[in-house]
Amino acid sequence: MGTYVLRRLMLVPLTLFLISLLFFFMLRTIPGDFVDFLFAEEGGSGIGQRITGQTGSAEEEWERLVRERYGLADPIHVQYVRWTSHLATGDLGNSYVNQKPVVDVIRERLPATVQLGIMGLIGSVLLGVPLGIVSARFPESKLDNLVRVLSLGGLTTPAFVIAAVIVVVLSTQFYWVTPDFVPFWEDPVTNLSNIAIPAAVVSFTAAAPIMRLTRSQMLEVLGQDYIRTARAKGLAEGSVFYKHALRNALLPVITLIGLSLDRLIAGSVIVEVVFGVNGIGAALVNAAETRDFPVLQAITLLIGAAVLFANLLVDITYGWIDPRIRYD
Amino acid sequence: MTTERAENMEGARTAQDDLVQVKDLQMYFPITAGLFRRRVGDIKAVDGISLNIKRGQTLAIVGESGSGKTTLGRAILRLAKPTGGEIWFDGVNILRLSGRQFMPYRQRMQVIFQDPYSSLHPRMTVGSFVGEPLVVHRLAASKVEYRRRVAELFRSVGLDPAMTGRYPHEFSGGQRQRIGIARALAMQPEFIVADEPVSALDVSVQAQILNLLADLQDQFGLTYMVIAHDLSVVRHIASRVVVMYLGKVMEISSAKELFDDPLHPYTQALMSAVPIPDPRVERARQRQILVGDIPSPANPPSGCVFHTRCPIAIDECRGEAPALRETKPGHWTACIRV
Amino acid sequence: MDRVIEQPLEAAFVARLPREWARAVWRFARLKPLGALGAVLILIAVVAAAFPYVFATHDPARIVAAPFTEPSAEHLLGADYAGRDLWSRTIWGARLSIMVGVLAVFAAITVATFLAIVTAYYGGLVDLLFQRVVDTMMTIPGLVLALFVLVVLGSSLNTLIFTIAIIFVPPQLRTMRSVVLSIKEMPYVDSARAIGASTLRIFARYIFPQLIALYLILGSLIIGTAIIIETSLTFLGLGLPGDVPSWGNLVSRGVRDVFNAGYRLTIPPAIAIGAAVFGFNLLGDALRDVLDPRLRGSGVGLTGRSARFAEQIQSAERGRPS
Ligand SMILES: Nc1ncnc2c1ncn2[C@@H]1O[C@H](COP(=O)(O)OP(=O)(O)OP(=O)(O)O)[C@@H](O)[C@H]1O
Ligand code: SF4
Ligand SMILES: [Mg+2]
Repeated sequence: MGTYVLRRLMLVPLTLFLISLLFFFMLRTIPGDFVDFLFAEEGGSGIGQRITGQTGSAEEEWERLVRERYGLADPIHVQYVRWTSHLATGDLGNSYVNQKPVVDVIRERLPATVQLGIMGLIGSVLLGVPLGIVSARFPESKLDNLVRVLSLGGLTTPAFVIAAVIVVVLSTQFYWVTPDFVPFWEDPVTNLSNIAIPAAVVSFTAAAPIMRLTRSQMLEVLGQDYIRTARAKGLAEGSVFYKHALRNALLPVITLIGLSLDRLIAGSVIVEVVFGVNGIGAALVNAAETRDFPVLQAITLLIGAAVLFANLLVDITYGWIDPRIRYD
Repeated sequence: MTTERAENMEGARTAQDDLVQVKDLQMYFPITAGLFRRRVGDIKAVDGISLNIKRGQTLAIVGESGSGKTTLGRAILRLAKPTGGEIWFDGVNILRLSGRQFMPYRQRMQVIFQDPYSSLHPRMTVGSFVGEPLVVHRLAASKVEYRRRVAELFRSVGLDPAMTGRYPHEFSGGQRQRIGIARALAMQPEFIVADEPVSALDVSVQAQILNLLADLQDQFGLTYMVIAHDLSVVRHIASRVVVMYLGKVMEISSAKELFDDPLHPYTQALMSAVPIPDPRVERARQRQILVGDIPSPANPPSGCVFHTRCPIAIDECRGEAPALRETKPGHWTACIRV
Repeated sequence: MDRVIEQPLEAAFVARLPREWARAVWRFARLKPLGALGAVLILIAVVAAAFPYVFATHDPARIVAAPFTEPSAEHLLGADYAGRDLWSRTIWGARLSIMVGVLAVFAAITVATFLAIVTAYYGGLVDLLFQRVVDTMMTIPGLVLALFVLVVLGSSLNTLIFTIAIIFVPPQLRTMRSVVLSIKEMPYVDSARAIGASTLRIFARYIFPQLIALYLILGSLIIGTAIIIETSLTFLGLGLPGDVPSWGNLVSRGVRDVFNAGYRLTIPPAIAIGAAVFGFNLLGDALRDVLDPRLRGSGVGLTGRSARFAEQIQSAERGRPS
């Protein structure tokens, strides 16, 4: 167990390194480089002025200046080393669009996303686990069928469709307008009432797999020998169900919950855009639309690192909860 | 019957008679640990085994589960690469050969598997499964000849050639085993390793398959190495027997001699597990039950590997591993107390 | 028990006469009514995708009515902001979504299967390297990875297909690899080596046929997810160009026009997406149960209980941005 955790821990920097390599070189697979790309997109002077903060150079001059500014004239491995060493000191570069440090962009956007993620996570567990349990408690009942349809619907309907339908229904029926995001510490009531609906959408989509897994795990555990023995010994059905079966069934569910981070992230990207929540996901899409490469690269790295650590945490917790599991 | 014939030939023993010679064969599987997959030990599945198999003979390998029988068989067929030792086939050290050089030898040695369910490919018709070797080695000049050969193979194992178009799941265990045998015969091999060929079959079918193997041996002059759990199977077909324990040879002798006078305590224990048909003899004989489990081949006992379970072990047994000694003519035993 | 369930599998694989095929299909429908429902939904979507001009009443790109015309016999679902027929645009949307989904998934699974066979069979350093790359790519949520790749490559139909294919290769490679590892140990593979079959022959004749069932299961399961990703990306404005009649665009436009037309323009394409994805998922689930009962659970291999369990959940859940 100890060596396993150690091995996983040592894999973290390796994976992070690979992620950074992946994105770094992917950006450089653009024919030419991204300066060419940017210039082709919107002409030299506009972008040149934005990036260098100067005015009044010739078109070719702009290209040279921008390239110099981003160190693109250097060999690729030099660029990579420079980029990662800046990364190590917390310098993520500046946005192409408004010259803001990327770190500030992230700091500004993170609270909304974290809040959405946490509320989505709590909501999905509160929704998924009890419904899954009830569904397994009365299998093939009307309730069970309803839960199964719900979870299948949640699995198969894209988040943007749910979000879009909610938006159009709310706005046509209640003349509701998507509100601006207000940080929690400034105005908790407005914050919560604004983020409740987006968080509900995230919860619903993340709850579907939890519901399904809870149900199937409960049913599987209930079919096992020791449960039958407990029943045969005359233990009350409720006690068998909640004491014995639940404990064993929930273990994998916990893992799934821990692993639902990437689902939460993907869900909140969509939801933030649709509901106008001023978070990381919206910033990501925005950066993609404006080809703001420094922001794009930083956010994807951040997301990768977050998922990586969540997975690590799950693995370690899982081994700790269930010591029977041996890692090889 | 086969046994007697082999016994009679025992006298004229020369190196040329040996089709297969295994010399000090070793097969260690590394145990790795840690981030860098450091090698921290070995599973000594086969640990210094030497044996000879004479042409036309049936050599049986017996021993408990985990004693390394399958690993030995796979190594001889070059399905797994041994970590040490030599394997000579018809006077050639086959471990020295390149893949290409070894190809002709592939044709001469074949294998029959234990589990008739997982040894046939479920998505191939049994006909094309049996005919596959003919395709691989281009042994059939035409489609017509190919079909004729496959039909012939089916008949030689007692199956109706009309069934070639069917899939394995349509057959019973015994029929499947016949199909496996037909495939092994397709290249007209001289030597066949049969890894527990009947242990997965119903008792009533077992005898049929064993008889089929004996008939084929007579018909084609085959040499067999039969791996078995079950000593009654061995008694039925083997001419010589190797008793294995934890990757090492405990005893080698002719089958008849071994059953009449087992010398090694391990062999005696195995024998006493076999019921004797006569109830009076059965009741009178001393039962010697093996207690405990076979130790892990990753960490075999020192000295004689059997000492942890041997009823007559003494202190010296822990010291040095006893060598195989010829305790009676043609009968070799690895025990200091024999 | 299992034999009964496997019957349709065997039947389908050995069926050669049309009558045998029909019987296999019928047995499948009896055994898995929900799967059959999924198949029907898919059939509808595929037929619409193949022959949109048969069902569409108007040219999807032409202005044929006043903006925001209400539904009528002439315009079944009314017209959009430009006055184009929504029914016809929704029908044509099937063509794009199905095409992107099927092509991307086909490419992804084919590549994944090939890589899985090679890396799992040879093992060693190459295998280790591929595993690390797979781990790395699976750390990034599918939608985010797709977004990044699309920005790099630029949005077009081809890059969209390519991008979706790329994000599906790692999880499928992982699932396929674990299956190849177990097939590799089967006695019939030993038997193939014993007769001197070449490695290529072992791949093609012994290992690949055993992967066909999984290929179909994974395929039908992830086409739904691929459609989700395609429509999501298009909805975000990063997939197909804005005026192309794709489902993602139609929903996105419908939301923007909500104060002009209410939810009338949003709901039909939303239902189309939901039905298509639902269909592929139902069929995939049923195929998995019937073709490979070992994989039963909520997602491929979801019921294992080990550390690998976690990875399996990831591969099963991976890439669903919903
Ligand atoms: N590829 C391998 N890697 C690691 N260990 C192995 C491998 N193959 C076999 N072993 C180990 O080698 C030992 C001998 O196995 P082998 O299958 O040869 O025994 P056996 O006598 O055939 O047993 P059985 O009667 O159960 O078939 C066992 O402890 C087994 O776990
Ligand atoms: S050497 Fe000793 S332990 Fe080994 S078999 Fe003989 S008596 Fe038993
Ligand atoms: Mg064996």
